[in-house]
Amino acid sequence: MFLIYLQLFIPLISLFINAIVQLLTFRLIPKSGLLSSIYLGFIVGFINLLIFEFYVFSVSFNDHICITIANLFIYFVLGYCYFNFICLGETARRIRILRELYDSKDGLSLEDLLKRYNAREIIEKRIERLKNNGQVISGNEKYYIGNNQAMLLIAKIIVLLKVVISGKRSEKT
Amino acid sequence: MIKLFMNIFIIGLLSLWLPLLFSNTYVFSMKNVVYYFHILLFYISIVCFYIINLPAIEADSPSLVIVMKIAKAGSVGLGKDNLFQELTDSILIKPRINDLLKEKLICLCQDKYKLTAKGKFIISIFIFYRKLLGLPKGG
Repeated sequence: MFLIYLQLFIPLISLFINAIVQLLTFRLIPKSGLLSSIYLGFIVGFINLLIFEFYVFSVSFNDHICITIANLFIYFVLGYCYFNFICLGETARRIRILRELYDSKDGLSLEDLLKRYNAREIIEKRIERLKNNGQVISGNEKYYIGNNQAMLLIAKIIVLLKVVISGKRSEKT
Repeated sequence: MIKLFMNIFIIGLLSLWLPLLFSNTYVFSMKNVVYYFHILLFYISIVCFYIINLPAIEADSPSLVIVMKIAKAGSVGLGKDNLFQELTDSILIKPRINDLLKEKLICLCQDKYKLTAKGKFIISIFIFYRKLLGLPKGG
């Protein structure tokens, strides 16, 4: 019976290990970078899941294969959610606005809020990130698409999803 | 967002469990309860995946908008000033403030935006985790 309980918790234990490894890697090896630490955490959690699935055998072989596939799916999805949770804190505008308001106990007027966080800052930061990742290159004070076109592909997929789901290409149109 | 999560979660949960509980073949045993919790975990992960992806579909990501604009400019290239002119506070910031007001994470009291209890709770989670990681403000 204990092994059946354990099967249920394998993806959660793996996710926990993923988060711990990511956290420790990022804190203890500052050069590792946020994205690399997330990848490493995910891989270690994944290996942990495979080891558990190999040793924890509580049902018939066919059932075990099905449970393993379900656990793999759960781990991948939860790992993706963890990745997004960290990215939200890193890039989400709503989170940053909440953070600015949290830091100002008496609240902020729209003007004050825009002094602390505005479109100019967002563009500067994003351009810098895109340049660092090779998505965008600059020359003659102008920007061009770089060799790494992953972001452009993602942008096109998201526009397609927007059209399918909401019938609009963007928030404006 | 939280309301959406709860609605999807409860409707999905009912449609997932009710047929099982009222079926003639259902036998109550600890083993079955564990299996149903496994199904529940599977289901929660799918709901989380959906909820976490929804804002990306709803709101335009500045990075993706910038990349699309630069791609559209082609070999002519695009200057930073063009981006500043096109992507203003009205496009990048104000719609997100309105989202927060709609979600009741912030309120407008005497011309000042303030956090609600719900907003404080959510941002506390992010602040705690970013402190653990030793990261500064994002955005």
